[in-house]
Amino acid sequence: MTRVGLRGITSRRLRTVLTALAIVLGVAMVSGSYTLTDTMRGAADSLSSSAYDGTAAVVSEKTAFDAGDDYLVRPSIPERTLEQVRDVPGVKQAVGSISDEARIVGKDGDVVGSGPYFGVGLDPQAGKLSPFKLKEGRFATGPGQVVIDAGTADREGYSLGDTITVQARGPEQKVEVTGIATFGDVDSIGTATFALFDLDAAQSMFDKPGHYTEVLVGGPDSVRAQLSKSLPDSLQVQTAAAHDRFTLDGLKSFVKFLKVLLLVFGGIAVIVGAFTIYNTLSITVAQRSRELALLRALGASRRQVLRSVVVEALAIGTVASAIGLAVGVGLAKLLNSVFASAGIDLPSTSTVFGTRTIIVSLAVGIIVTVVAGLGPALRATRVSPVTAMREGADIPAGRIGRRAPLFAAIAGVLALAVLGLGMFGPGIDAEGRLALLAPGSLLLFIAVALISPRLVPRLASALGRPGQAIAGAAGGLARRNAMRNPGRTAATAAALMIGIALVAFSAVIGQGMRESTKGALDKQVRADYVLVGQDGWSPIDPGAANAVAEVPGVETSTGLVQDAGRSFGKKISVDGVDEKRIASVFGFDWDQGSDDAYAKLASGGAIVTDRFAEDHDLAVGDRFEVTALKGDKLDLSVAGISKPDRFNPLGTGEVTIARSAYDKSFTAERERYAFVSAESASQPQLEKALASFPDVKLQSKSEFQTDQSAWVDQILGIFYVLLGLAVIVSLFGIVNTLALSVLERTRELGMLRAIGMSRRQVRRMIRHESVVTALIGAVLGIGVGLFLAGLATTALAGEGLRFAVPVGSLVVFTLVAAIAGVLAAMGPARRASRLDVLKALQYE
Amino acid sequence: MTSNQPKEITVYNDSAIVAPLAPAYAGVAVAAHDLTRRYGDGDSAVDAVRGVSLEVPAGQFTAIMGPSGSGKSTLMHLLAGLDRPTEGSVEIAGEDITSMGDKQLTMLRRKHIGFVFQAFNLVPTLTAEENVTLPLSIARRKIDRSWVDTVIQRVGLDERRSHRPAAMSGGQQQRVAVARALVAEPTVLFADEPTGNLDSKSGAEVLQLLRDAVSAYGQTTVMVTHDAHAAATADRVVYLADGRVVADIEGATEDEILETVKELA
Repeated sequence: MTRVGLRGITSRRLRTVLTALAIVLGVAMVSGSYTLTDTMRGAADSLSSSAYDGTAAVVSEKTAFDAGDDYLVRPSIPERTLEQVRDVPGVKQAVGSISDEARIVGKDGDVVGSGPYFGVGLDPQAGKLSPFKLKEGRFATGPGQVVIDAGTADREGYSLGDTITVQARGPEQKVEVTGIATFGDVDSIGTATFALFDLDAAQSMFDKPGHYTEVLVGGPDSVRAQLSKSLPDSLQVQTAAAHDRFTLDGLKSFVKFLKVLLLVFGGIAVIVGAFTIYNTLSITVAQRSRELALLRALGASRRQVLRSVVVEALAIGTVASAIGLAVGVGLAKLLNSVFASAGIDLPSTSTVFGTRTIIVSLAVGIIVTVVAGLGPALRATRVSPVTAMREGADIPAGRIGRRAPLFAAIAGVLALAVLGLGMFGPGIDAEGRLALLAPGSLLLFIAVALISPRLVPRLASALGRPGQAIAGAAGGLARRNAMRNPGRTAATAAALMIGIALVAFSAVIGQGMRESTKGALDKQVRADYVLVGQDGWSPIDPGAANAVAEVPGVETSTGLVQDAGRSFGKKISVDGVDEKRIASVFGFDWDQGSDDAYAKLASGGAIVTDRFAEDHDLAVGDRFEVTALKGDKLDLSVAGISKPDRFNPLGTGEVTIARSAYDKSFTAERERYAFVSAESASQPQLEKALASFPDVKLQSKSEFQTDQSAWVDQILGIFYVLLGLAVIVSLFGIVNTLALSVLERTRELGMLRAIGMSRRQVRRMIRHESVVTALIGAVLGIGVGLFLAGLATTALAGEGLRFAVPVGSLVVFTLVAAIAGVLAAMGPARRASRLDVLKALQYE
Repeated sequence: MTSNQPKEITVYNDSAIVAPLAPAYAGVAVAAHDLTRRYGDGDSAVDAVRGVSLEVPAGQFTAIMGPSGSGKSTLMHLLAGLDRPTEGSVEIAGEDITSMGDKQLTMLRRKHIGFVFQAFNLVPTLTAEENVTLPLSIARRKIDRSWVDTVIQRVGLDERRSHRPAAMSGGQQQRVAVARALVAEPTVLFADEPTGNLDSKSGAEVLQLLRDAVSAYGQTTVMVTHDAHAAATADRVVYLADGRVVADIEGATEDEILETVKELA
């Protein structure tokens, strides 16, 4: 009996290949996600060890709290710390170091890379304490010299002796390339750039005269304990990895996030694959009912029949998973280039292919295939032996089939319960809500898939009408064919539905984000122009706003600085603004207080958000304390309570204070944004003033509004590519169903040809059926997607996310689905049209 | 053959099919010259049809008879353009179909050929009436309502026009198939064991329909059968054995046919 199952696979090769492909892709995505992220993680680890292993300890100013990765700028320490460190017993070597930001300007005048832009003050004596190895030339030994990373040198064609432009603090400056270095053994870290300066030169470039940002110490590990004991309390002693001056932890957490993201998409593809397998095996079992009945008549038990179908699924699952595993490694490379083209470049090292990858990928593929095969296998056991004697007997609908509406109702209720809990349940954080969204959506998909056989006749009838009008008899027959076996059409369409639903969901959420961003910025920004980092989010040099302020016709040009602070035991963001100028370019909606609040900022006042006020029970006039990173405690009184748009696209802080107070206590000097009101100055004039600030771009308010939501398009682009995989998997399902239907209707096709149908009409008929099926998937998918998005935006309304339907995108998705249907039909249609009429008529 | 004149029918050219149509032929509807059909090659080659020549005049009801393996089905397939002869040629309405490509054959089928199969072969998703008009809509011909009504009434299915095949008996289904074959007024109607799947009463009704179409409208018909009773309905019986025509008799009764069969055996 096992042999019968396996023989079935080899005798129906094409069907088996298509079924297997559905699983291959899903498994490939899983194995690819692991391989990609393991490789990236390996790269990050090796970067980390080459960057930090040679350093026993890093001494820096103790911060009042852990600011996390968000704030690169650390407080600095005086030069004499270096002498103190050198005096500590056990210290073999100690050098001062400056870690800051410096942008390298490319030949086209734009900043190279997209960050981080490391600007390093390097003691040439650092040796192993620094990860940088010279590839060519020598380290910088004085002002006007720079060593750049090999990646940048290569990309921009910079070589030794070239004069290039860099920007550290203030306007850009010309420096000479004296050396080209690698970071450990790699030429570059993704999109990051490195500019290494002489230590003394760096002190003046980065506006830290007489200061370092840290002291790097070489020696045995025990030196850390010695240092902690001997140095004053204001200093902290850490391992280099804990101090993480090249923010490699950020890279690692990005890799972790990426892994989860990719696995989610892999999981989606696998689930869609399961639908395809379920459907294909169901049809196969139905078509084999006579063969199965014959086996039963010959004495095979139900168990044996069950086993023969399960063995078929198992064999397909195993082979497909093994292939998927291998394809995944290739996919990892492909994904890498997808990310690279989206501007997310990752460090590359040799591929890491872990045992975990192998086990998980195989297990997922095999288990899912077998589970998907169980339903059809159980159906196969219900074939009665007498079927062998009858022609065209059908298998009675199974228990699940008969009670589909009941199961659909149960799944639907469960889905709504889980989604409801996830979206509206109290006391669940955003992560928990997202985690509940997944099973809720899956249940919803199952519910819709179960009920869709009842919707298919009506949908197919309506969606098939245009085809009928265009293609006449062929279109009409196609429409009827799509309605012929609603269960089959529904299951085929359901697989596509999942992909389309998620695409539509993403598109609606994305549109909501775009509109929320636009709306919020419209209220907040009162300026004509905004100065913003070249990449749209990097903080800009504070000199830029001042340079623009000098341009005749400019009324106001003032920036907003931001740093981490701590208040009521929590990390918050503190904004610093020029209280005299800000009101004309940046607006607060007052919850309590009025524009008088600006004036109060100068005398220890603070504007706080309504949420912050609510959380800590503050009213206008109340006093509270904020601690800065370097330990300064600010005693503030509430001057006004603002009611910012919850969406907060600018990421403005909970507490806003006067720039003068900010500058005294906070370390982040670069401005998040600067706002310019200049009715009588032209944009070219303003841009001219910014010529020496390559990190800054000037945007009109409307450009800024669009640009600030540009990331949405980027993310959507990546999502579409990843969901495209699920859509492709569901296309295999359509191909499979059509191929099986063509086979099943061979004699009918022969008859149609005999009564005058042309090959072209046959192809048309198959194609239209495919398009109708695809459109059913698209319509159901868009419906489910809109529903889920509506739910999510309602739940997130508190965060200011709006519900907006991108009609254009949805129309495009529908068209894409129709085109996908045409593509899926190509093979089966060609096969159907090439059938030999006579043989087809004689087909049993 | 005035009764076989096609009515005014508008033919919408399917752009894929550009071969000009031959005019309806009024003399010999189907002619076969020295037809041989060989299966396989070398030592294992088998000739299913060996050098058969045959002319079916327009308006005649011809039965092709023979025992299993006599080549009668193969001969019909060759005559209807469903199969290609190894040697010899076939003309339908004066046109040599032997060398026609798929597009020309499609056009030929639309205009000149009607089929009735043993297994009915109706489209299960279509109603009786839709099945009947299917050849017209496939050919994108204008559907003449009154003519369709006439045909449906002629096969006695006026009451059942909106029924699906699944809701009809075998006899009714085959009557729909006959109506489908008649509706386009083909030069020749090929019927392949049309009563093979029917009980004797339904079989007799279907034979009567075919007979009526020949008598009243001059519908040229070629029917393959192994049943002497069915063959007796025809004007002429062509008897095949081992791929050759061994008897060709006109106006024979069932008993005469059975007698011939016995003699030949």
